[in-house]
Amino acid sequence: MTRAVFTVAVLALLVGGWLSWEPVVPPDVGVGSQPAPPKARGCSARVERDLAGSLGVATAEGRPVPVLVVGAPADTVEPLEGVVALTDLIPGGLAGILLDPDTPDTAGVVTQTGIGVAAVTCTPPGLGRLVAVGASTRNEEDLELRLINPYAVDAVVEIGTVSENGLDTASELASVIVPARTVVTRDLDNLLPLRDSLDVEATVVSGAVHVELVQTGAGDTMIIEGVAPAEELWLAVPALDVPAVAEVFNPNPAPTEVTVESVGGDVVFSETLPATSLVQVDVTGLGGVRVAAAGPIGAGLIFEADGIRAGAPGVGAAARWLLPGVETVWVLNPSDVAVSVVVDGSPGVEIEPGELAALTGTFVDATGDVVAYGTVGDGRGLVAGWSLPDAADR
Amino acid sequence: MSTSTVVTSDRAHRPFTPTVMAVIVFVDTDGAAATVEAVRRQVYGVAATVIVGGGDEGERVATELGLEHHATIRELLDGVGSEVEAVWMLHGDSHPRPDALGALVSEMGRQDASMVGSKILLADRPDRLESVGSATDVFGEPYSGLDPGEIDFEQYDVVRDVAFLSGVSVLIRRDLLKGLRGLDPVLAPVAAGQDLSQRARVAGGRVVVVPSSEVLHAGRCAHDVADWRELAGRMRSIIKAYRWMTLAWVLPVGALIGLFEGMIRLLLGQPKPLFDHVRAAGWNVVHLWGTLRERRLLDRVRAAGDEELFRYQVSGSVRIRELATEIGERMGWTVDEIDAARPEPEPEVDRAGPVVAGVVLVAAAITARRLIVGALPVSGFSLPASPDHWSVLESFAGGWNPAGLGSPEPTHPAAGLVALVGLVVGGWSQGLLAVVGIVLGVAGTARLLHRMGVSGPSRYLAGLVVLFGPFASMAAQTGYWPAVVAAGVAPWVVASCIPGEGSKTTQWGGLVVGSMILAGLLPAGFVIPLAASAVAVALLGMPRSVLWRGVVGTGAGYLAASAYLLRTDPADLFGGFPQIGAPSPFLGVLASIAVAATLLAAPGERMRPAVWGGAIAGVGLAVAAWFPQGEVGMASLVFGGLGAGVLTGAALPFDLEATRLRSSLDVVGSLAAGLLVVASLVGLPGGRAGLPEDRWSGRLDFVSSLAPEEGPGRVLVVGDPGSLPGGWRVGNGYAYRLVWGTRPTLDQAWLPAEREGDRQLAAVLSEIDRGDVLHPGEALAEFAIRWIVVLDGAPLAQSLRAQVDLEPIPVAPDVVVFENTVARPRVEAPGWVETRSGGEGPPSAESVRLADNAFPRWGPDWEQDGWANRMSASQGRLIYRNDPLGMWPALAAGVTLVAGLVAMVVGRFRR
Repeated sequence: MTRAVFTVAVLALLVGGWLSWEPVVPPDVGVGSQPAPPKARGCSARVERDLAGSLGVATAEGRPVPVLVVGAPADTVEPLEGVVALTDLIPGGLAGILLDPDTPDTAGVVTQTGIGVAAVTCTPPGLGRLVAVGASTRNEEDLELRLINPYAVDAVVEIGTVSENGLDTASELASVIVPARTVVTRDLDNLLPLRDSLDVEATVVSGAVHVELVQTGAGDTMIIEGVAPAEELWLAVPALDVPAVAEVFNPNPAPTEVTVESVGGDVVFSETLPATSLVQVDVTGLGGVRVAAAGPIGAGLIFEADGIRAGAPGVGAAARWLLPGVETVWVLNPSDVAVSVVVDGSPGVEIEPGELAALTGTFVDATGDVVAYGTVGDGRGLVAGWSLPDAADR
Repeated sequence: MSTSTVVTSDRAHRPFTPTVMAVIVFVDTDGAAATVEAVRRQVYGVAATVIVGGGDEGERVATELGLEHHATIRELLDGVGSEVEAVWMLHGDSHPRPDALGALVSEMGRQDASMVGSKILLADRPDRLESVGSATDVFGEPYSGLDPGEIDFEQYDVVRDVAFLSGVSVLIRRDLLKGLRGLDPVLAPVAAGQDLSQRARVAGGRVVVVPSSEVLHAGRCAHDVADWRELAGRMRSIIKAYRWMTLAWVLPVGALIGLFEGMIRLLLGQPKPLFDHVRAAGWNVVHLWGTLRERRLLDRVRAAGDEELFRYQVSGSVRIRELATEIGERMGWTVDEIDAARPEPEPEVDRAGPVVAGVVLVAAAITARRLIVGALPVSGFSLPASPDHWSVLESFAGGWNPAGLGSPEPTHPAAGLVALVGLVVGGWSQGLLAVVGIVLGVAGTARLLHRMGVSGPSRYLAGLVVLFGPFASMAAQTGYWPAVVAAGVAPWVVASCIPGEGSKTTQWGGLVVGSMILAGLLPAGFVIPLAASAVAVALLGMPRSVLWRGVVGTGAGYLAASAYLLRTDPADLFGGFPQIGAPSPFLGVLASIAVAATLLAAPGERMRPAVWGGAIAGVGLAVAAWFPQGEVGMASLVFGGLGAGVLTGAALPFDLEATRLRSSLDVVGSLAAGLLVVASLVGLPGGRAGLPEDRWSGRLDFVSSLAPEEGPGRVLVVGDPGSLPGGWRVGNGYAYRLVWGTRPTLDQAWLPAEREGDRQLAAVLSEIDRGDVLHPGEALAEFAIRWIVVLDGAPLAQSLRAQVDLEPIPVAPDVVVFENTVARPRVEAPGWVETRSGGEGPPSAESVRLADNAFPRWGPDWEQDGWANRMSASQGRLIYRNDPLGMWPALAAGVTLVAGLVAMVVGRFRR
């Protein structure tokens, strides 16, 4: 009897002990989300005998911005504010420019002069996929792909190109190593000549790079920055008396439904774009268009005429924008209600729904979401504005 | 009687009847008279009998017996003429049988020998052998080949050449004896016989033992002779006999062997042999001149080389051989009862004990071979010791703890214990502790079972379950090295709670020392002695003294860990480690079967330990399940593992004679227990005692090769929690920690509680994760972080893709390593270098920034610099005033540990 009692008791203890174990739970080390994209903004600029320009730098708070210039020839860091001549920053050649994100709400715009006028906004680097939309290698057009790596880590980038023929790429672009603190270029007009339309998708395998397409032709230059694809993009179409084209690029390996609407809500284009394809839609005189897609896509606005090559990527709508160094700020109110816009603290301007207003200044602060673009050189250079997060989001 | 020598010469047929003089070496009065009487009864009569030595008493006895007396044999030989052809030298405490001399004379003639000796039997047990001639090793150590008290079955009765004869009864030709100038008067009896035999052989004579000549020997001659005198005599003997070329290597090698043997025996608690060696060497130095004089005299008659001596010598060292034999014997004997007197011969089945113990120890040593040889897998909390033992010990005893960003909290006691051992033995501290753990694990489990009434070799097999069984394996898989060693120490501690035979002083000392080691390895394990003894008293009805011992053990354990426990958040004992994995259901079923079968079917002497073991295993497992991520869980596993081991030992009926199987159910239980033993050897091929694979050996080698002069700074290691060395802090989807120096060391494994610097570092990492930091190197430089090691896949690597001051270094394919191009040293002042416990450099009026968490015990002239410290450089070094709350308990623990060790040693000597 005693044995049986002991047996049951000890067995219960032992089995109980064994059964009280639960499966191993991995230690909690936080959400494990992907890290936020870097807030540094980068771009490139070239200074040669007949080529110069300026760098416009601004912050919402009006403070100087530390700017790192790499590769020309030594790295330098200078706190800058306002518009600075590129020759003051770059002794010569092609250099990468990096705006330090330690200063919040910073934006930079490079304006290149020489063969016409071009402008580009400094954008965040790609850690994944960037698209640059709206270039061409048709007759007489030079097209240079710039891969800018101002960082300490070497980068590897896979470049895919899509033309009016669909997926249309060169093996030389399959895997491009961009050493730390360098700018690597590829002449796409040599590799992929005579393409009426040429969009680029850059997949950053390691490291981080900024991507730009620099197209020169007909006496003008156009610089298009690579940006992350998105499902909704806005294009403000400045009234430049030049035909305007919206180019939509589906970089996805699957067909994607795309709609292009005017700011008034009229559908200009609505089709399913095949995988890795592009389409051009005439948006001349529309004031602004919204490009919406079922998946992340790229969209760009292109002005092309004799002596004019200007282009800029589509952007999302926001209430605050920075456009340093531009001559004209084009503000589109895509909403259904009027918004009041203050530029650089000047008295507010009322912009009606669907209206595109031409203003001057750097810092746009609206009472509602707007879309801002900037032009330089009488419209020969076009840049998308740099939207700032709402104060509450920061 | 037969001989192995076939003699064919004519001389064999010619009668050999030399005139013999009997020389009795005086030992005592009674003995001399009896020996004289025995000589008179010899069948082969002697021409004369004289007594030699003994001083006045010898002379008086000689006079009473009507015999001639001489002070020394040399003096005697001067007066002996050619009428005496042979001299029979006899000890004065011997009793030759009547035909002893006749046999000697006969064989001297037959063998044409110069020196013949008798077979010596013990006078009080005439059937036991004392000597039948002996060999020596090259160092002069005699080797008789006899076991102590070996019975004479005439198994050695062969006339043969030997290296030396016992001086108790030797017949030697007079001319040879005279040429050799007799026995060396300064030598002890045995050494004198050996010396004479060697010189006789070097002089060209044959030395032969004649077993048919039997002499009973009382052995009183050796009673007053110290061992070291015999040793000294043997040294003198070889110095006299060997050529210089031989001596050139024999003497130094012999000295080394003596030193080695002395050290080992010292560790075995026998200090005398070491002192004997020293005294013997000293004696020979003092008598060197006389030895050389004797050597020159021998050279005059030298007719044979050393080769002639080598022919009759055994290979190797007799002393080492005896030492190995003794250790082998002890292995089995010690495991049973180190304090008990040597047991009487055991039943056949128990004789298997030492063999099984040896096999188990070898298997355990193979299973933990990498731990023993110091090739510890560097992973988790299995980290190598810091070479700066003193500094680590200081960190435990109230000093600054540099782990992480530094803290006044103490270093873990396990690191302190390793450092203490390192200080004492000068290195190999973790290997030594692993050996201690294995030996104590096997020995302690066997002792514990023995004291619970289980006999037989199954006790040793149970040790494998304690060391490497399911519970120990669960602890080991987390990489918690101290738990692996603690698993071995625990059974010894619990066994010490149960009174055994032998010295109580030693037992109390062993209990205190063992408990302190256990709590040093696992601070939460200080309760194990009390818990185990309480269960024993409650379930097995053991006396209350067991409980008191448990209280003392727990008290000693608490004292050992008090410097840590008093200054650490108790919550730390319940978390901070990788979670212990769930136990194997298969092993659970085996253990349950073993419990059920043994409790239901085994005899009482096996059932009771099984009850104790099963209960302990269950409780340990349950508590570990409740706290699977902390020290408490580890200690519970060690506790439960002990129970599983005892359960296995009780369930295995290896001792078939003593504990017959009662039923087939008992067989089932035994089989289940046997499978538990087999399962415990799963880790044998890996040799890591179940610890995880090495992940960090050599991984930070680049630090030492690239580090600047002012010091290596800190390494920020980022990855999954289980992949980091030691503890970690939580980042955004990854774990991270700081490693100071060129490699992760055990003392850094346990991260102290977060302080301001740690919080600021966390904030910086968070900013980097948010993509807000273009200059992470600059941000991390404030924390003296010079290197960032990101293990494959950690999200931080993504965040560091777009930055400008951390240069990637190609080190290994599975890690991303960055060097901080703008790093700042941990100790920031011109010419200063960092040390584990601070920094030092040229004194100046400047201030020094120490990138450790701010704490006002730093000096001189401390002031807070943000989260860090700033001190004056005036004294040339940074000084941390130790915390008395850590220092005094640590000192008390040290004193208690020494007292426990002294008690163990004193108790053994008393025994």
